Amino acid sequence: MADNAYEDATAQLWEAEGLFSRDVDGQLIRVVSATEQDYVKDVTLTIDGQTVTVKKAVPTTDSQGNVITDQEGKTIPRSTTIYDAAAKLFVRKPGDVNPIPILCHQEHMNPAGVCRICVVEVFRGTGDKRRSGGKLLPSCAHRAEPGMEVHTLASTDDKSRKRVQSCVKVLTELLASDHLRPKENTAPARDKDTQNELEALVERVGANPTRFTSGSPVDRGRDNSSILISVDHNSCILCNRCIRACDEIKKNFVVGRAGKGYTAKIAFDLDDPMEESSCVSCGECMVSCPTDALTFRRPVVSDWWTELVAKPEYTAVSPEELKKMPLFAGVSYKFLQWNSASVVRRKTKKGDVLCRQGDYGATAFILNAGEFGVYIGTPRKSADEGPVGFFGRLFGRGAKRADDNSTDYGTQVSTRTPEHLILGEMTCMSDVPRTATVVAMNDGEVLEIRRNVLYVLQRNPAARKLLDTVYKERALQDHLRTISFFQDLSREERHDCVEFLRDKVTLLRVDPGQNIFRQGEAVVQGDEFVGHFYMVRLGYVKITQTLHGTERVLDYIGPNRHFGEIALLSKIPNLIDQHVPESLVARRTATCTALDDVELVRIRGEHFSELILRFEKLRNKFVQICKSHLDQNKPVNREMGLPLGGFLDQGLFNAQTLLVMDLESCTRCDECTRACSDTHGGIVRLIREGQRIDKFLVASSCRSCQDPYCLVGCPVDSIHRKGSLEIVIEDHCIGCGQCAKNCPYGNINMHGFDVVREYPPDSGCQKAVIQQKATTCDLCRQVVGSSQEVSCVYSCPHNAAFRMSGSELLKIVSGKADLHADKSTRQFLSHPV
Amino acid sequence: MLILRKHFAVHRKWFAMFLAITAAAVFGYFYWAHAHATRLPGGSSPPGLILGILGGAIIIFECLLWPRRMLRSWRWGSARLWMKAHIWFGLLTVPLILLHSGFMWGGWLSTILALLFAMVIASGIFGLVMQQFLPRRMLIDTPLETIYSQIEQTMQMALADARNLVLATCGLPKESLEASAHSQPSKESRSLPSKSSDRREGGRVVVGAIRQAELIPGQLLRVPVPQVPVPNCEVLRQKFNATIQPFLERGRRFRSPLSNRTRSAEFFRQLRAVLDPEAHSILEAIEECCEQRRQFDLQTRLHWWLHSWLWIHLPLSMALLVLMFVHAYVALKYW
Ligand code: HEM
Ligand code: SF4
Ligand code: SF4
Ligand code: FES
Repeated sequence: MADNAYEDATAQLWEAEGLFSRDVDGQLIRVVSATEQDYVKDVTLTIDGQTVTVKKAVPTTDSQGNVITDQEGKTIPRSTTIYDAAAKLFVRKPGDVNPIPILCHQEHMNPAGVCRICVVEVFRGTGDKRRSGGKLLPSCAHRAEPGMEVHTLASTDDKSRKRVQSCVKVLTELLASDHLRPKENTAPARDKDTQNELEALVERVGANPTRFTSGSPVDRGRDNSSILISVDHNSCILCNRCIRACDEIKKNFVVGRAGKGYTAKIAFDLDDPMEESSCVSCGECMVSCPTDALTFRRPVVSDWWTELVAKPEYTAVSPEELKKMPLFAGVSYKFLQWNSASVVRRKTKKGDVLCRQGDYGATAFILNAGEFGVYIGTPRKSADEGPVGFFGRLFGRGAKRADDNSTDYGTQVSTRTPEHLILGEMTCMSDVPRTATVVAMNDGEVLEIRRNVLYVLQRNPAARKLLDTVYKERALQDHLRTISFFQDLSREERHDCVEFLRDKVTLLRVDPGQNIFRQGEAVVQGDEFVGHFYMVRLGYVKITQTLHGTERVLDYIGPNRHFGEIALLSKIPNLIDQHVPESLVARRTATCTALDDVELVRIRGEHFSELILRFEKLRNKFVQICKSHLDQNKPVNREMGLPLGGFLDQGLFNAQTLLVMDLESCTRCDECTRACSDTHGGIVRLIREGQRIDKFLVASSCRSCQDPYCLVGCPVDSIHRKGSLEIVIEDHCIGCGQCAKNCPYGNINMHGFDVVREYPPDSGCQKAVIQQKATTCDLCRQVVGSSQEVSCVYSCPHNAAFRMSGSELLKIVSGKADLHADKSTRQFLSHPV
Repeated sequence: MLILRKHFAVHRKWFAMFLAITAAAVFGYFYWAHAHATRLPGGSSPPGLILGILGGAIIIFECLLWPRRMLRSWRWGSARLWMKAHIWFGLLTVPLILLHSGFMWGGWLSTILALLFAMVIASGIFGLVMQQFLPRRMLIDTPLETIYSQIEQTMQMALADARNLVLATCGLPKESLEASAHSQPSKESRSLPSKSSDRREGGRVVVGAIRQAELIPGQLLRVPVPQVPVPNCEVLRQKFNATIQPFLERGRRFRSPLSNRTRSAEFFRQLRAVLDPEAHSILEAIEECCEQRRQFDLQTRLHWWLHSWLWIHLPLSMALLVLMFVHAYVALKYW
């Protein structure tokens, strides 16, 4: 690079220091970290001649795009990089190609900046002052700065493009010469379709992979000890992707580095053989590896897939086919290969039902062809309720679901075509039962994908954005249909209200522990509304009030309820203002905090006021609600004498099938535990220990959370809800323990099963090994079916064991319901007395 | 199974059945006696025979509770239904068998049978009575209770914790300090567990994560542990070794002031007085361990009362069953 590109020699030195730099006095300083103020600052730069504006920094997110916070609950700012800016500019939808290639970086990881394949040339200044930075910069790690002029591999400026091209090419050739080994030489031999990202890069930049091949590269060896993953150190380019996958994504902290120079390699624990290390075999490192260094031995095959593809209307889908679809462009190819049994293709005929309203589900549908009707009917009875006859009672039988084959789906609310891309993602993403029935209207084709595929899709920002938009729009429309306070309105009024709100609602996500608003906050500033009205779509919100310095929990609010109206109404004269102390008019009377992952539907303050003023019936209703809240004026803890706070801390609000024991009746005979063990082949799924509430023991057994923490992140989707409430762990579990780690209540245990496997792998010897698998209470449904009572309750001779939801327990403890009352007052699973 | 007060609602129908059948039996029996001008018809009279067959059938049914219990995963009626039936049919046998006997002991076989029957019934009623009171007592008096079979293990863990706390407070004992100055690491200092041996079970390969119920929500003992040994704590070590440790290990079986709550409080009060305030939180934690031990002892006792009567009830009822068949055979043969 010509020396005259620099104003003086010092400037050149400064630039050369890369991450370090000097301040005006020539003092060496570090790059200043991004701050929260940078979230609102704009940075405008040009990339390959096109201008793009990005925020100076963004909050750090996890691999799923969820914002992460530090111990104090603050977001962690991360500078926007040149690569991010290029992605914003060029990758508008899944499948678009970013002109900057990456190798050691992945969009869902923190950049490590070790391979330099992503280099770009950067010019600063304009006119006479336009200068190249000299050194090429790694765009995945270098932050975007105002006024930068960035040139990539695809630049229209010949000189810059050639410079970047030759650099990337040489880098690729250097890596390929040492680490891209002929396919026959890899172990296990790579089939022709295995996509090696280094190989793909060689093709993309037209590199000569053997240009620098030396006579005898250092042999770093192989590790063949793991049953799941084969390790070929010679193919490893030390990109650190596996290390970040294990440490940052899965938080297992097994993979690291060992050795120096040519012998540097990845290592498990203290360079133990993989099988002997603390590796849990989750496969995350393997799907993250861009080369053949970490490869899986055999793909995961689920019973679900085997059963489906045996049917004529279903066929298997190969990873190549998937990879060709734009939506899957950003997904790890190895993941698709490893989990190809998580996708099936279904040819649909007119009248075929894809999913039914009210069912739980673990799959989503990608629409390839055809038209699909979306129907909404009256909520049907779930398998868990309904009348039971005498003999039903005798043999522990519950009600049968009668309408499984019914063709009365309700009214059609919309039609979906391939243009709408995906269906059924809501159940998959937020664990709510299906909100509609979907029926094929003519011949078509869908891909049915499982949750793990949806998860990796969401790792890709472009796909995530697309899915998120679809999700939000549908969630809002769905919510508008079911708003609880519209229930009393006439059909026309309801229609008017919904139409009024249609484009005025926003979907918000709130993280656990985050405040939605605080007591005393004003809802208006000047003429502008800063406080709003909220409806809960998913999750739970805690309402607390501080009086005379002590904080009390007033209530907790779950799906389909609303909050925030009191402050807004008190601002409107002559509605409820005379019931509110003057100092609190138009101010929040309580603090609202999310208890878990909450989705809120927000109506802005001004729109809410307008709604209230426009619709009289609604106004009267809200005035009545507010008055009853305010006038009660009793010691505000509505669950008097109850540890409501503790109830919430224990997550009981989220529980649907708590195993509760009445300790006044329970003789501690342990029949329940024995029955559980006998029912499940000797592996018990309940422990008669746990939290005590009043005279009840909440035993450790799956409580069927409304929003189950355990389902998040299973790499092979072996844990899920199928048709109904219970959590099922399928046989293809690879025993990674993620779900057990996720469950905050310790209700999932890993259990070793004896299996005979080829061990050591590829040795031809069969050996008994202990395969860990996750086990949890499935409400006995895999064993005795969904219409039968759970074994723990069924086998308690002393009428001491019950299954109930957290809110039912709360009611019983606070004396609002009777434990032995008529079964119809309790929702499900509680036994007939 | 609770049957008193508000729980009676569950039993109302059963109680009514009991009364109705008893009344019918008594009425039928005396009506027949009246009609045939006998005073108290015996087992061989038609009503006696009918009642005997009925009672015998019920006793067979009562004994079926055992196989029902053993075959837990079979779905032949919920355990609570069986229990209710067991209690009320069991009680029903009393009037039936009494009438069947014609209020006479009969021969030696029927006398033994009657005594067995009485004992079975008595033990059953005794157990039922225990079930009315003891669970509630456990709820109140042993809030720290754990699963019965886990008591010793839980206590071992508590003891290990307590030992570590004492070690942290008092420092290493003098002898072992001296020993370690000259020689190899002391026996007590644990070697680092080797990864590979940890992961392999009996030399076999383990695939996947080993993670057991570690998160059971419970009361965690959070004690601030002193970073450096607290001075002048030798007395704590002595008392721990002499009194506390044996008590934690063996509980009631070791005669100790600690098995009495009041005397234990006094013991710890005295100890507290001579110890540096910095060691007080440790002392509290150890006192808590002793309380846990006492509660476990009480739990063990209550558990015994709740369950050991079955060791009379069950064998005797089996003997009753066998003898009953003999009795029936003999009676029919020599009738
Ligand atoms: C005719 C007489 C009776 C016979 C032959 C009989 C027999 C039995 C048998 C075989 C068991 C099973 C033990 C086990 O599950 O391991 C049992 C349990 C039991 N019996 Fe009886 N029984 C009789 C009468 C009664 C009566 C009159 C009562 C109470 C009023 C009673 C109360 C119980 C109770 C509470 C248990 C269960 C204990 C537990 O589950 O903890 N029995 N009996
Ligand atoms: S079910 Fe649990 S242990 Fe099994 S593979 Fe899934 S997350 Fe891992
Ligand atoms: S079976 Fe019933 S009485 Fe026995 S331990 Fe379980 S809850 Fe208690
Ligand atoms: S991708 Fe940027 S340095 Fe490797």
